[in-house]
Amino acid sequence: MSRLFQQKGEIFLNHALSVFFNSGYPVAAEKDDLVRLNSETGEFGLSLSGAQAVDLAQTHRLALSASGRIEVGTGAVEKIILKFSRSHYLWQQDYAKTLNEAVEAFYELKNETEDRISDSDLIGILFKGFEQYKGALEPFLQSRELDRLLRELRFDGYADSESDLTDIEEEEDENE
Amino acid sequence: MSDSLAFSSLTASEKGKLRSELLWELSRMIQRYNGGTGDSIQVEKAEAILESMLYCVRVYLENTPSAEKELHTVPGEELFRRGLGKVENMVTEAEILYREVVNTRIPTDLISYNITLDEAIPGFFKTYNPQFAAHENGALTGSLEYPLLRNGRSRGGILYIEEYLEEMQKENEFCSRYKKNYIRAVLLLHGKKHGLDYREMVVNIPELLLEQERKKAPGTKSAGARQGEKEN
Repeated sequence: MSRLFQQKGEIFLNHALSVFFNSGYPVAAEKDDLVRLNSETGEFGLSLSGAQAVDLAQTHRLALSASGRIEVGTGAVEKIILKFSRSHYLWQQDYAKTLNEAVEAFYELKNETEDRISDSDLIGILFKGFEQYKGALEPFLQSRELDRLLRELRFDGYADSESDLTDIEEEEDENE
Repeated sequence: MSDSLAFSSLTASEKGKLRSELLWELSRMIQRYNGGTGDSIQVEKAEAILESMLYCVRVYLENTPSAEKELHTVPGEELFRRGLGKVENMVTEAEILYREVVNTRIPTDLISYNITLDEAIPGFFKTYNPQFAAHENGALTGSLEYPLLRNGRSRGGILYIEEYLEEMQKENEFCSRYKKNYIRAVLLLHGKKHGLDYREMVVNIPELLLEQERKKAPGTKSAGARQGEKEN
């Protein structure tokens, strides 16, 4: 429990923010939200089963907790699903696993980028990396490109980094 | 009215309702803080925003005669909005007070006094953020600060600055009874005694003036002290 809640006395006692925000929305409700997106991702041949959607909702909560973040609004998971479902390299058998990896990476990177980048732009970077590594997220997360991007984001802001990623992509394309 | 007094009059269900209203307002404030670019935030930052919101509510309740009644009848988000409005008005009033303090400033080379007045306090007004950090002291934090005779540090944000400026104004008024050269001589003497450049000392001027008076005539106001005072 945070220091704040003890200091402010009885009004907020026993109500940590993360409990209120991250557990306030039931897993079952989030599962329904995620399964509902199948109608959009279905056109790419991708869908989540009920059990996979529950797993992803739980990964979402664990990722928030592990990164020490809380979330308000619709959250990033739906945006991740809608973006990644357009991948040229994502197939049904890897779909749920990839989404879980992307959700974990997303919240970790939100902290590493010190919130200097919007949710949509960060999802865009993850997606580009995923495509660049032909459907493998882990090598991109371990890559020097991402390291460089994070370093530049911390020091120079996002605009340069976005163009750098494009440059890297172009270099890679030329090398092929 | 203190937090505990005000909140203790609420029933358990009223407390739950207020807590819930304030936390939903916090979620709106987080979205505003993120500027529509993200839905998540680090817990520490969210706690700081909530602390700022509670500070605004406290300021409002402290300045409202019907606080007890309003706590029962006004929704939490409205209490916060009224508090934020109150804090913003206090900033405007403090800026006016600051100009008065500058106009009555003590003519001195004391660096801590001049830096506080010319840099730290304007820095506070420049960086103070009532919306998301009403409880913090902005640029004043960590800067060289002239020590006042009565320096209440228990309250942050605009309450601290307001109190600081009011005290400084009283001290300026007290020091206006003394000639510039007399004040300088008292500081110089104190510096010499401690082997310091008097301009670099972090001391309170009225305190040294009072000390000087006490030395010259224990128990009564001395002719010597009166020598330092301006002639009417």
